[in-house]
Amino acid sequence: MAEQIMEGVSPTRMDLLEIRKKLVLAEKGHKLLEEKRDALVEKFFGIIYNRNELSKQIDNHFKISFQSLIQAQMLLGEKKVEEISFTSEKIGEVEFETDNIMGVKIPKMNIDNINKDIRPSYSFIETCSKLDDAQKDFKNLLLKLIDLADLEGSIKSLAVEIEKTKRRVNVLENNLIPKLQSTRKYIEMQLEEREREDFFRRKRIKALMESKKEKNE
Amino acid sequence: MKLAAICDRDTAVGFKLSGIKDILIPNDNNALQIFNQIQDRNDIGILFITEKIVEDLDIRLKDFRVRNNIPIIVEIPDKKGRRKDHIDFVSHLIKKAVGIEVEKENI
Repeated sequence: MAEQIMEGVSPTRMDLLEIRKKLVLAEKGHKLLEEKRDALVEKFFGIIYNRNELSKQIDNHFKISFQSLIQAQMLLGEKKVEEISFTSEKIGEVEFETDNIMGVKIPKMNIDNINKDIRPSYSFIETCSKLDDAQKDFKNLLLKLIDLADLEGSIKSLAVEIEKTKRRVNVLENNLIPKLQSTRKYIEMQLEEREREDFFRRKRIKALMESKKEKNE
Repeated sequence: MKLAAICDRDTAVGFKLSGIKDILIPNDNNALQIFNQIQDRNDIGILFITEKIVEDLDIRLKDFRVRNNIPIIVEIPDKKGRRKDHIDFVSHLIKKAVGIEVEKENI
């Protein structure tokens, strides 16, 4: 890519000073944003690791839960299991608070209102132990799923913020800073060139004047 | 806020046993309608959706997730297990943000 200079800049000392100031600011901002990005990514990796672990556990748990559910359906009939499922207690509700990581707002769940221990609410006489297993498995599964939801929520907010920060860093690094640098270079060269011209002109005039003087004498 | 799920019949039974009351079961072609109902409600905090329905909704669900932080949508496997060729939204996000795929081993 050819070096671009900024538009609307005239090669004067005033503009040079301005550009130098801008460059210092841009470099400072770049450093800060880079640090922010690194911190966010570090945090992000921790959460991803947890999430992947949990997600693996949940997949296994799902398999087991479905197995016991299918066995219960086999023994009692699908209709019966479905009927029973309507009688269960309510799980309750979650509340959302916002957590703050490096200025990023992240939804954080408050699960105090969740009923962690739902007891079977059907008669044990008409049902079998497999249904108890299924109920227990799904209850535990759900608690894990809620944790997973919490993690995925924060992953989402972080991912969006990381992308934004990354874009800003890249713009500074690949566009703004090189542009400022080449503009500074351009102005400096122009000024130097003018100085040389001036210098040379003065020398020339001096020589002319001296030769005139000699003639007169 | 409430927990809700959009899933197939069997998963629904399991979730009902564990205490979720807001469960919607779409048949083959009204998944979108049901999802629109959910969009209009604002009392749902976590929404569980099985992967098959996620695939049916595809781009609309993606748009919704990009725009809204709440409800948090969690993709769950159905009784046949995870789909092999399905890339879940969160993995996709991770890949986009970090630039690499943070491996999740195939099960």
